[in-house]
Amino acid sequence: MKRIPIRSLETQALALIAFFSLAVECQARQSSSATSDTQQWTIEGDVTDGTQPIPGASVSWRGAGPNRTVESDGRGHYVLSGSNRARAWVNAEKDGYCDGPERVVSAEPGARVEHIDLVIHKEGIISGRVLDPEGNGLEGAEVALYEKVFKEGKPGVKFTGVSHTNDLGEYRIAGVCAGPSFLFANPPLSKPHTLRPSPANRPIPGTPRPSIERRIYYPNAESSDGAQAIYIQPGQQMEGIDFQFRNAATLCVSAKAAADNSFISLRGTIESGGVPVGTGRVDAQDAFEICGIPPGQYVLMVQSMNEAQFSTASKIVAFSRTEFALGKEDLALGELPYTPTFSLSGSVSVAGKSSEEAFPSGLFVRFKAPPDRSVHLGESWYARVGPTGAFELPLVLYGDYQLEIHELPSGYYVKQFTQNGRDVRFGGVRPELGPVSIVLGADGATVSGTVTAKDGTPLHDVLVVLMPKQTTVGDEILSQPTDQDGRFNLTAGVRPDEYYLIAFSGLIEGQQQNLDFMRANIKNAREITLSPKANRSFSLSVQDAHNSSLSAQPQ
Amino acid sequence: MRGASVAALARRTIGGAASMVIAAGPIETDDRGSYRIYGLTPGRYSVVLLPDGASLGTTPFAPVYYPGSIDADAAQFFDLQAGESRGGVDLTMLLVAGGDVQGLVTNIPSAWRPGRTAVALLTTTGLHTQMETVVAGAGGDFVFHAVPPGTYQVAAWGPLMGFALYPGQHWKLGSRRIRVDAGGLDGVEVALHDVTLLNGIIQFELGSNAVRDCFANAQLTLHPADPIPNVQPLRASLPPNGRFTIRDIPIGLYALELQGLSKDCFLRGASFGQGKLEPGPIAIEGDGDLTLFLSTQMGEIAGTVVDLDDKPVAAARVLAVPLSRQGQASGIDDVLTTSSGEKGQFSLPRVPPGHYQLLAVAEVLSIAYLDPSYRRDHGTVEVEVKSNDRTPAVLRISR
Repeated sequence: MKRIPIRSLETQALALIAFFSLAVECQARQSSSATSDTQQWTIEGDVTDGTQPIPGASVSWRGAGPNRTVESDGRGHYVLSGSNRARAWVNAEKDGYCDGPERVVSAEPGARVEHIDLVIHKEGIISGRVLDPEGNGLEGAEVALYEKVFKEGKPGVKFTGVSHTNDLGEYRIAGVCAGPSFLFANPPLSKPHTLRPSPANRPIPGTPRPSIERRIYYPNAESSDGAQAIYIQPGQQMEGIDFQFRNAATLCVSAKAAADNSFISLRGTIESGGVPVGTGRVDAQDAFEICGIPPGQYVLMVQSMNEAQFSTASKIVAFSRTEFALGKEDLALGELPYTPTFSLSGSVSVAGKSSEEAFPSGLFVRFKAPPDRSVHLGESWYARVGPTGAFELPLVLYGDYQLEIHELPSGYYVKQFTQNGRDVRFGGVRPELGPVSIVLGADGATVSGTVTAKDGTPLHDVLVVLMPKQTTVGDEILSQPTDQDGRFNLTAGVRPDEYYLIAFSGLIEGQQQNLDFMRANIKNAREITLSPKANRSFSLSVQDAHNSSLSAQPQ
Repeated sequence: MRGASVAALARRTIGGAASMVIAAGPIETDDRGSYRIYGLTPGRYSVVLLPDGASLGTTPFAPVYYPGSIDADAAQFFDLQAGESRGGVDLTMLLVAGGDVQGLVTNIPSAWRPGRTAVALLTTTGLHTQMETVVAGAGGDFVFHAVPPGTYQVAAWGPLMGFALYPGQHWKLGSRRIRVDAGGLDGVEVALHDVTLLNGIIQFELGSNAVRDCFANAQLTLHPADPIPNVQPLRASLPPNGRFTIRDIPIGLYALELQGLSKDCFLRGASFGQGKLEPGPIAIEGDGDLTLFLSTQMGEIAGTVVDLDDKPVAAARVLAVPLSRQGQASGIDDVLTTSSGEKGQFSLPRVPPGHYQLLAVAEVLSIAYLDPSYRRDHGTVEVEVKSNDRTPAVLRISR
């Protein structure tokens, strides 16, 4: 059931970003297809579970122009049509089934593309109980299902399901798809409480108090190293996947917010697993305390709002981030920093072009979200680049960011990205250090071609990866899946340089940006040199990630 | 039915009127259509299947009351005892014929681009909830399909940015009541109006002593008489200087709820702008000042608890449930209680003026007494308490 909530002011910042992303993407795609023919294309195929047809599945097209959705008929057959020239994504979904993998499809006006068959499988169910150390059901615990993937080239997780326990400690996660999945459970979050001078009711400071662990991995492992993969078959119901927390010595942290209407979030550092510990609202007049925290590395984030109630005038006015280590004793952090918000401006220019020449339209810049926090109300996360190349993010929080530029036209790439003379292309943008400058190159190359099997059959949805030979950063690696005819076409972001070009099947999400994995496989890559404005075409065979010399599993 | 929202319902008195409120939830049904609502205080409840009407793009339907009716009056309530776990409280989705409701939103500012105005269809009987929300067309046109016959409120507001209100923008809202018959309804016109900003101040009634900390932990909530979209809560905490602001209030009639006052004072009434002090709901018609009048001048209820043979009953619990006092919440904290003495006598010495229903019971085992129908079934005595006055009452003990 598709839901677009429009009532929550607390979450509207996030929604706005999603909307803007969509709006900007749509605009760019529409403008790129301004020359499209009025002839209709059609894409058709069958939705099955591998053997049997699936009637009533929603088949969606995401690409140029508005998204389209049709329903598969009684034989599982579907037909999509449109008129925009496009390279787009088609997928199928149905209640009670896992979403199938997306297919990349290119369609020209007037074309009839057949046999874009989509496979979806019945969902699996995982259920069980979460128990406290005494064996009683633990209410309000969070059980999360995740897959191991790569994020920005580093091992990470992708959450695929979540459930909260009821008063009996029961949880149930539906929509579990085939493949190795892992589970962990977190107890309910701690709440900050105001510190009052009432010694008689307080435990002796500095003494660890018994509590429970902050996270356990199935089957009751302390860390993700001990987590056991769960393999579920389509339609399988796996019951009795239980957790039992153990007692653990825990401590308290106290602090004082610098402003009223402050919302705190206490969690483990990303390096220590990022386990959430506590959250709540505090005011400036009282010190607060959060307890039930095991020793470890933590970060305490505070966002202060301009008013107590959420309204259309609500905005964040200050943000602070305090990292600390908790050892054997309670910790008093004292008054937390108060860092007002910033505005960040910048400019985009094109190397070798004068200001009179036409500037690329549709560009926008976006912050890459910090891994340990969500977007806050009113925070600027994107900005359109104006016709003069200027952009501004009016409300930016204290921190260290990576800024990305999106919707580069064909032939353009990022040549230089600086702030105060520092190279910040792959991170290090600090809003307090002044404007950023982005220089684009307009003499980028184009790499296209086809991926085929040994017998010459085109291979669809194979990932073609273009990796600069000298790179030390996974973000520089470009990739694109092949369409139904095995074609790929990398046109933007390709700077003149020396590259490895390789095609993979069976990659884990984000694995192509893992430098260790890529280096282990470059022996099979095509080495190419791209000169300015080069337009090269290649025919590739595929490298199976599962047979590569590096384990396909992120750790 | 998977992913449906189910809530526990209770009946309460709000602003003097019997209303349905959500007592717990809503929670989502799982892949089997099962739900479990827990943590309920013993009392009288029903359940309701709620539409996801505050979201765009969902399938609209009218709330379905247990065991299976869109008529709120047909909802079956049941008493839940302490420790009881009641299963089989199943709800069935209904197929009900309905017509289209079509109309136009007017007064849309020319600066608003198409797609900036939301229109919601809200229920006006039973639980007030959004049944469906759509985005008005470029000309302000809207349509709701398959609306069952009944009375509804249509509300329009904006500007939207994406799926939320445009932050930092002055928004507008308009609404009107409609009656839909089996054939639907055409030509529903809804005009947008500016939302208002309310500056509030607290004053003590003449003759009352300003009591320190009277409202230190108080929070004011405005309850609209007509249902409005759940855009944002209309409430404010009351700071020590007694001055507060509530933004973005649609014009209309509101009942005030003031929670967290100390036991020494009560809300006598409120006035808006130059208007006089109103003991009941107040009309907010634009930006203006709201004055809350607090008072310390209480009354007293005193009397006797007797049995069916008119013999005094000792150690009975006496409950005084407020009915229509301005600012009165309907929660358990607002009910005054005491016990009868050896000769059945009782006294509630500090009672804010207003109308009350009095009830005497042997033991308080649940909060069912908050339900107006429960009180009606248990022979309550209704009294009016006045400032600095003693109100007598004889209560017959209830089952």
